[in-house]
This record gives sequence, structure tokens and C-alpha cells, in this order.
Amino acid sequence: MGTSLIFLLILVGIALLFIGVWNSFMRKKNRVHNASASLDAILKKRYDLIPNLTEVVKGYAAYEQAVLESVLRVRNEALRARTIEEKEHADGKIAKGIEEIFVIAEKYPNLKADRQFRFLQASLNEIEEQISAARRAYNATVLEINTAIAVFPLNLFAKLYRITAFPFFSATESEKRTPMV
Amino acid sequence: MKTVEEFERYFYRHLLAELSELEKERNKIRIGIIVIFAISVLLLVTLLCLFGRSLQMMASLCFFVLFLVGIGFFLLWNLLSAGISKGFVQRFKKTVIDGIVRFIEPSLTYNPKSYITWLDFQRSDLFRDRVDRYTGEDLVYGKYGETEIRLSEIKAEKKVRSSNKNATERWQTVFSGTFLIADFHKDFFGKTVIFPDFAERLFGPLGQAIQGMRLNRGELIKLENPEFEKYFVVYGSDQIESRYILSPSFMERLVTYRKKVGSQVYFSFVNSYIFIAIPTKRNLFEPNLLKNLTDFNHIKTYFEDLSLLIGAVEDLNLNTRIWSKQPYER
Repeated sequence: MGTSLIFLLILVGIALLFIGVWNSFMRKKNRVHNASASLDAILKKRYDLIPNLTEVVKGYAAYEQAVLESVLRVRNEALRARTIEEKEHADGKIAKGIEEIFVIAEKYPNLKADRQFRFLQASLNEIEEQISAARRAYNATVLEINTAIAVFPLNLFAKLYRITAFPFFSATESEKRTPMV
Repeated sequence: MKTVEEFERYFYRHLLAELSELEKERNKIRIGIIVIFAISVLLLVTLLCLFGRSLQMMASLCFFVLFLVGIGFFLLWNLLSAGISKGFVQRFKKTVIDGIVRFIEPSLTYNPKSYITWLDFQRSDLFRDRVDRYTGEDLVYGKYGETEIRLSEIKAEKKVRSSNKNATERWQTVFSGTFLIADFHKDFFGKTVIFPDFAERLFGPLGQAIQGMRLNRGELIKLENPEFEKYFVVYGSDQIESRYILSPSFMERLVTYRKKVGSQVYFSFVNSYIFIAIPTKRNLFEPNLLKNLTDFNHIKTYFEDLSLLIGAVEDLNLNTRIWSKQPYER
């Protein structure tokens, strides 16, 4: 009687351990998905600003058509990105494109002084900061689950549950260069 | 921010003449206090002589009586010196503190009798203890560059009853020190609070687990800067928003500011405002009757304290308005 009770308790204990670890992984995984969705929402905000920006620039710098069209093309590509790697790649290109637009603006003082252009510039600065925050929040959740997947004995459970490491979202080159305030 | 060298020039050109007048007054007060002290000691000695015999006979009782007399003298001395120096303190604050504030930034105003409101203190959400008595003084307010600021000394206390038989009541300090509110350069809607990190410093990874258990404060925000994490623990209502506020460079600025202050600092970010609380036992803006007012090195300490507080705007780069919160069009 005593032995079977102990055996039963051990079985319950093991079952609880498996359930607990599974739930912990699921919670971490959901946090990653949640952070990824928030990042997507903010990236989308930036993509939505680009047509407005190119429209304003076109009004002052019609000769820069090629640059503007290429930025719009990159923006459409970015909208189609699905995986983190694709988004990261597209984000880099978008950041570069926006940088080029601001370089153009330097050559046209009237454009630089345009109220709407200044507003869009401030909005983009704001969104850049939000993207940076969302990227860091996403990476924090990825770090949490990837660490759990890597350390013993959780790595054994991760293999059993077929949970694999998530990719980090790196900062774009321009983000690394620009000193954030 | 103005330098010490600039302040030295200002001191000799504008403050010294008025300070010399104040110094004469301080000397009179000092003599007055010495006289009161001498009379007190004399009275005490007289009492000792009169009751000398009783002292030998009933030593314990006499010591008790003398102890009470001593306390009485101490209180009387404090009351008298406070009464004598009251006008002096007001003049000192008007000359020195107001002068320094205007020197640092002419658009700032100093009011020695006013202080940060209880509502603002509560709004910071830094100290959640019940507060039964709330006082303060030395309010500095106005615009520093693009940033609206308010700072003052504050003392918040609560009444506690001891659990023993007598159930005596006493006042326990919830917060005592300098409190600063500034208009933050980014807009946000949630709440982020930064506390000095005791748990992680003392217990390492176990401390982090303890921090995670403070659920009523919101989510624990683990940040990437190890030095920042060594000094602070952060709770926020939104992981992304807290990171939006605490950009990598802003974290570094907070660490640098913490080192500059050299003691515990609390920060909170609520409704697009930053709240900074620096607990201190020292009364920063009161005159020191024992020190010469015409001595530049003495007055310099007031300048340094005020620069440190008002300078938080520059140290934390709050005047940079490149995000949603734009500078006002002039």
C-alpha cells in the first residue's frame, strides 16, 4: 500500500514537472509572439509614413524621382516580409532609404523648412525610437526563451517538446551609427 | 549649465556686498547664541551646586532631575536661536538661494515657503506608504530651456503605533529629501518606476527572483545595461514603453547622474513627466550659522547642490525635443 502510494506520488510529481515545464515554455513562447506582433505594428507605422514623405519631397525635388521610387519599392517589399530575418533585412533597407531622403532634403532649403516635412521628420524620429524599444523588448523575450532552451536540464525538455531557438532582431546599420538621445 | 568659475565671478560682483551685510548679522546671532548657551551652562552649574548634597544622597533621582533640566535648556536654546535667526534665514534665502537660482537660469523662480504639492508627490507613485504629515519648503520652478521644472525639499511622514503595552505613537519618515518634477521630452501614457536596487546587489540572481515578485508594481523590466541593472530595478506597465523611455543612452545618463549624486536616487515616469526623488538628511538650502558667509567655498556648496538638481535637465538631456514632444513655437 505504502509503496504504491509513493510510486503514485512520484508519477504525479513527474507529470506535474512535465506540465510545469511545458507551460513555462508556452508562456515564454507567447511572450515572444506578443513582442513580435508589437514590433510588426510599429514597423507598419513607419512603412505607412513613407508614401507621405515621398509625396512631400516630390513637390520640392522632382529631379530625385529615382531615389523616391526605389524607397517606395523597398517599402512594398518590406510589407511582404514574413519572417524575422526578412523583416530585419527590409528594415535595414528602409532605414537606408529614409536616410537618403533626408540627404536630399539637405540640398533643398525650402523642403527642409516645409512644415509638413518637419512634422514627418519628427514622426519618423519618434517611430525610430519606438522601433528601437520594440526591438529591445522582442530581443529580451527571445533571450529569455533561448536561454531556457540552452541550459540543462531544460534543454532536454526543449528537445522533447521540439522547441527551437528564436532569431534575434538586430539593430539596423543606421540605428547602430546614430547616437540615440 | 554655468560653471564654478562663472559663479565665482558672479559671487564677487553681485553677492559679496549683500553677503557682507548678512555676515554682520550672522555674527550678532552667533554672539547671541553663545550668550544663551553660556547662561544655560551657568544655570546648570548653579543648580548642581545648590543640590550638590542631595546629589550625594539621592544620586539617581537627582540625575533624572538634571537630565530633565538639561533637555529643558536644550529646547529653550533651540527655540531662542530659531527665533533670533528667523529673519536672518529669510534674508539669507532671498540673497543667496534666490541669487544662485537666478544666476543658473533667470527664468526660474524661487519661493522659500512653497513646495511640491502632495498631489504631485502622490502622482509620482514612488512611495506608496500612507502619509499622515506632509511638509516642505524651498520651491524652485519655471522653465529651463525647453523643459518645465519644479523642485523642492519635502518631508512625508506617517504615524506608527508601537505594538508594546504602552502603544506609544511616533512619526516615521516615508520620504525626506529633494523632489524634482520635469516635463519629459517624450510622450507616454503608462507608468515606469525605477528604484535603487538592493535585492540584486545583495542576493544576486536570487535577488532578481525577489524583484519579480513585486507584482503590484507592474512588470519587472530587465534591461541590457549591466551597470544600470547594478544600480536600479525597473517596473513598468508596458515593456515596450519602458524601453522607449529608457533608451540605451538614457540609461547611461541615469547611471552617470546616480554617480554624480552619490546616494540613492528614485525615478518615475508618469503622464509624460519625470519625477526624481533624492533622499537626504541634510537641509540643503538653510544657512550654516557656524560658517562665514563671505567665504566663497562655503557659498559654492549651495551653488553645487542647486546645479546638481536643476542640472538634471541637462544631464538627462531633457531639452532635446526631436520626438513627438516638440518645442513650443516662438
